[in-house]
Amino acid sequence: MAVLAQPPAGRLLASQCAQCHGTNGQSVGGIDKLAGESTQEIYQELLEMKYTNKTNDIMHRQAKGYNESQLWLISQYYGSLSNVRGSTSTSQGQESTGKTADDDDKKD
Amino acid sequence: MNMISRRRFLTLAGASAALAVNSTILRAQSATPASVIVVGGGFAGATVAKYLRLWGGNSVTVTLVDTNLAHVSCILSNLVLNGSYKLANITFDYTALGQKYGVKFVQGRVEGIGVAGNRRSVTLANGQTLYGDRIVLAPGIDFDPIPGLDPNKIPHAWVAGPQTTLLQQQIAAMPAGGTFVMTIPPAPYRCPPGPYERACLVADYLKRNKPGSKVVVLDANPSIVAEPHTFTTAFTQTYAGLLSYRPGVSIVSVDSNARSVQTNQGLFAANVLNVIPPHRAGRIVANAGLIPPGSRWASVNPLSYESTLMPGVHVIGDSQGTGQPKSGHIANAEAKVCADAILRAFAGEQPDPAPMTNSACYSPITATTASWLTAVFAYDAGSGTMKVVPDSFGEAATPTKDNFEDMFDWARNLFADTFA
Ligand SMILES: Cc1cc2nc3c(=O)[nH]c(=O)nc-3n(C[C@H](O)[C@H](O)[C@H](O)COP(=O)(O)OP(=O)(O)OC[C@H]3O[C@@H](n4cnc5c(N)ncnc54)[C@H](O)[C@@H]3O)c2cc1C
Repeated sequence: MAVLAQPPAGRLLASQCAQCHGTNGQSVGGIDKLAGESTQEIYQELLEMKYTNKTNDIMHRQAKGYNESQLWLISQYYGSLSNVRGSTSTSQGQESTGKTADDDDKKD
Repeated sequence: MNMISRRRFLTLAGASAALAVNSTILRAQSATPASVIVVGGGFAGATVAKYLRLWGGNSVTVTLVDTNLAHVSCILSNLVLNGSYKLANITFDYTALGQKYGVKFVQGRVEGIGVAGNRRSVTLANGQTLYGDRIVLAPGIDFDPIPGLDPNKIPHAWVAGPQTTLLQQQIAAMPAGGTFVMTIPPAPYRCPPGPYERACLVADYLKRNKPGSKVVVLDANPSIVAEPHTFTTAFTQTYAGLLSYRPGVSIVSVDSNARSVQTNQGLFAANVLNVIPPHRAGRIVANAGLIPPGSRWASVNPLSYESTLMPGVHVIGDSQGTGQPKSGHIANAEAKVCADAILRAFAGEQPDPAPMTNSACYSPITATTASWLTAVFAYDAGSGTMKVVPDSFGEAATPTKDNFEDMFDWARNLFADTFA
């Protein structure tokens, strides 16, 4: 498998959630999984945390670190992973983009 | 966008994606894969090795070199000191990185790096030389020498492993009514809240197991470096009468047999003495000439973590000098930015112009409660540095049992995202 010239949008940003939420959103502990959530669900939750002032909550702090378009990219990335669940191989990053592009094509 | 233009757009996007895939597959089939050698398999090095393969697949070969067959995590290692955790709980080998991602592992100590044409090389203590298109150095930290200090007698336990065991054994053997003295180095050092967390955990252990004992904290810094609210409360309330804290203490010398430390504020004798010396970048980084004069850390471009002094060589984790805190969580974050930038460089592209990193740290304050500290960092194009996003920075209001449980969930994911 080759390096895609342009990595999927949001992949690097989204990977910064993985320290707590697991590689590709597949949490191994009690913390929420992000894989399998819809883009809208994740985005709405992130916005709520960004704009409410519950500062004694670690995620409310984290959400305030990103602007809206970054939060959208992160949400989209995890939302897209859930479309291709099951492919958690080494190259999921590229496979998911490849497949998402294909899938979208077929759906339309 | 109406249906037709949306479909057209998707078709075009699909076509161009397919083109890109085809051309890169062709390139990958005709050319040998690019190669990266990673030196050091701690939080930074293991993460960059994993993510280079996770994202780069077979377009890149990755060789990870570490002195040891397994890495002992400093994270949660303070829990070994009070007997609630074993080193085995926080020891990670490189089998999963090999099996799941195809990272090649070589055990050995890297002694030097070199340039061979447009390739880079690393030389191991056994004389072996490895070649790669790019090198990532992630060796953690090195300590300044202190006159009279013998770490085999006076452990720092600031690199986890045998040092942690030695300090744990000394604390377990301490008489009731004894004195534990620890010294904190000037910032920046690894894990800003770590020394204060240790002071709390040792105080908690002594309170329950060695009645009448005292903890003396000698801090080189002018005040508590991290979570001042949490630790001031812990020191002056939770551990009042048991723990005394002195800021602005600089060490003159140590007597490793008498277990005493001479400082600018006088002599402190201890039953157990824990001296954490000042830090600098790992020795290999200094040997390679990647540290500018007057600095202790590698000068790197925060978009890629490539050395500003030697192209093709990247430095991540505690050894790099971007000013971000030295923690395992953010070492993992930096490693992903570095992996992404290296893969883009192999594809002839510029790094992501706006990388983000974050830090989240849980600190046990007693045997059952913990606090946390967190921050998000964003690249600031004006200054060319990573800057903390103000509203994202904060500490827990109070140490709680919930935080203590969250700490293990956080650590499990961080460990898995790094080593598995
Ligand atoms: C008590 C304590 C508690 C901590 N708690 C937390 C916490 O709660 N959260 C957090 O985020 N961080 C915490 N930290 C900080 C964290 O452990 C470090 O910031 C992190 O380990 C840095 O990662 P690194 O990859 O740069 O270095 P390391 O993890 O130290 O890894 C360096 C690796 O390089 C290898 N190496 C070095 N030189 C060579 C060489 N020449 N050749 C081959 N291999 C070499 C070493 O064997 C080692 O495996 C804590 C630290 C301490 C001491």
